[in-house]
Amino acid sequence: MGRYLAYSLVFDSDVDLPEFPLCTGDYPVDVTLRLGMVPESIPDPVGRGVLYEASAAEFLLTIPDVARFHVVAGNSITVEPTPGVPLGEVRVFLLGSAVGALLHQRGLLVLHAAAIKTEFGAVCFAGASGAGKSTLLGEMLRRGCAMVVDDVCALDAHDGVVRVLPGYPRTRLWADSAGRLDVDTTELTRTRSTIEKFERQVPEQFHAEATPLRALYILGSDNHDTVRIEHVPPIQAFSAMLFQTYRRRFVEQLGVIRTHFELVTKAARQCSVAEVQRPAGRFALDELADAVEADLVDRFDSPSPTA
Amino acid sequence: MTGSIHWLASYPKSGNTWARVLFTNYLRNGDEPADINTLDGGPIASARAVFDEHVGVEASDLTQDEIERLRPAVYNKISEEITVERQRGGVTSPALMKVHDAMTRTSDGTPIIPASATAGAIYLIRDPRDVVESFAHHWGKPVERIVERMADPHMSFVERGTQLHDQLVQRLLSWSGHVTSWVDNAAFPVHVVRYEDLVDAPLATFAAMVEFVGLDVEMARLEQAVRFSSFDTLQRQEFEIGFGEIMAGAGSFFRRGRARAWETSLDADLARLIERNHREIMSRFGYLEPDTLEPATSVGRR
Repeated sequence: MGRYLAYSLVFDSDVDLPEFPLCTGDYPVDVTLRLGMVPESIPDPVGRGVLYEASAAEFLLTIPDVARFHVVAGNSITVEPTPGVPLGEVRVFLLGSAVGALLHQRGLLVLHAAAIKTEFGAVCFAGASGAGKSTLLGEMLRRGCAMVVDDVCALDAHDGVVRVLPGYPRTRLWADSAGRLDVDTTELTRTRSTIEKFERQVPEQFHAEATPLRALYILGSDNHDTVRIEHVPPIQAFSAMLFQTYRRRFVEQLGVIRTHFELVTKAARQCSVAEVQRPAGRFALDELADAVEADLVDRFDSPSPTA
Repeated sequence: MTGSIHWLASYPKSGNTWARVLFTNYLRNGDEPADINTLDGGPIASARAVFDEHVGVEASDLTQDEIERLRPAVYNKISEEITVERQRGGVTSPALMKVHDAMTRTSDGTPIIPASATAGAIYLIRDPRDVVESFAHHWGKPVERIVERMADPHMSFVERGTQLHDQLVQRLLSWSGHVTSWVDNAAFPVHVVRYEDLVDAPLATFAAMVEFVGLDVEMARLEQAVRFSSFDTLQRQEFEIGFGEIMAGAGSFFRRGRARAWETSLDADLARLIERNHREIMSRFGYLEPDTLEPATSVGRR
């Protein structure tokens, strides 16, 4: 337990959050995180998914036999773990959908993306589960970049500039990706005991400051044999970015559509958006990272981000 | 209580995409063949994105067992949403969804495809001797291996393991097990369609499918849909614009679209092995004369 800093927010938590940097200094608390009883349901849910309920005021998430979460007004999270479940497993869903809902409630733009810091600003890698965001982040880390966040990427607008907020220095890797990156998984913890997915802390490669958004690469794969990058024209950038929202359905159900759309509009105008296709049959990680680096240099006429 | 989804169910490589092409052309009733990359009936029921969207957490953070236990609720949710849309006067055409999973039960005994989400299912069946060749080609594996796998009741499509695929694991059972799991399930109406009948008598066969999903059969529309879905048309489209559903390195997706091609291209020993492995179901659906191992000389009916 203690005070932590993530997404430029001070968390006061009953639960240890080893992934989050500790908050040093006496700052007002933004989010309280408590262990406790979570209601069975919320009054008047606007939206219901298989495991959650959402309304403008509250969000309720149930992970059977793991934990239940109640997220209210962007400033409070109650966690009710199932007795005997390792807290590491509870944190998978706490730091995912629960914190994601919290950030949505706070009116931030939340994307399903990893972000690195480069010479000219933050570069985000978005895409569906399995598209390769964390793997590409891993390769950019290997090439010497610093990360800003992985997976749940929050952005705000400050003095008219959209910035990626610093998350925390943790990334996750599937065993295969770890192999490609020469990362030894025997040193790492699994996210859940029976899944071949691992957590990796990289505090020495973490950029802990809000960074202006410069580029968004939307990762996908197709049945061609090469990596291809196609720039998305400005008129399509809004919807391309919108589709990369973290837990898209939450936005309307949590009643934050207007602020969300406003931020996407600003962000899409401010950054360059591109779609990247890699071959479905093989990962092509080096080619992918090379192509992204070359594209950044091309676009912004600057030295390579890892130079 | 019935649901609103009409499943297009089949073992892989048994004509599922072709059925989608036919339906898409019928529903759109356009001036030219529908684009093969924008077919109705997708995404496949086991698409990861479908699961993630409706559940609220990612399948990639869940165990295989947890995923399976949640899948029925996902389809119930989808079915409810379609019902609501229909009540609002929105969607009026059938809600088709492709599925390759066998009708198995989750660890708490619930069918993975719940009756409460289902209006009915069209089950497409194809001679396993032709399926084998198509599957081997699609997957880039030797035919012998596919024959083995098709006899394996523990066979799954898309193995989970050390990396992420864009579909969830689908338990197929053996080919025979797959067929009976759908065709003999009593929970909802199932209309069986033989691939070979679609080849030999497309108008009559597709007309019955159209009727089954609750649409009116209009002759001119039917004829055009069949024309727009001919294999020549599909192959030309694939050549000109590509087909997103093909697996990388597989060559082409729309290959021959013929029935009984196995007779001239499948190794005789492998054909006999398939017949031994699946004799009962093959006889039942007219691929073998009952009680012998001789191939049927004419198309029989169930």
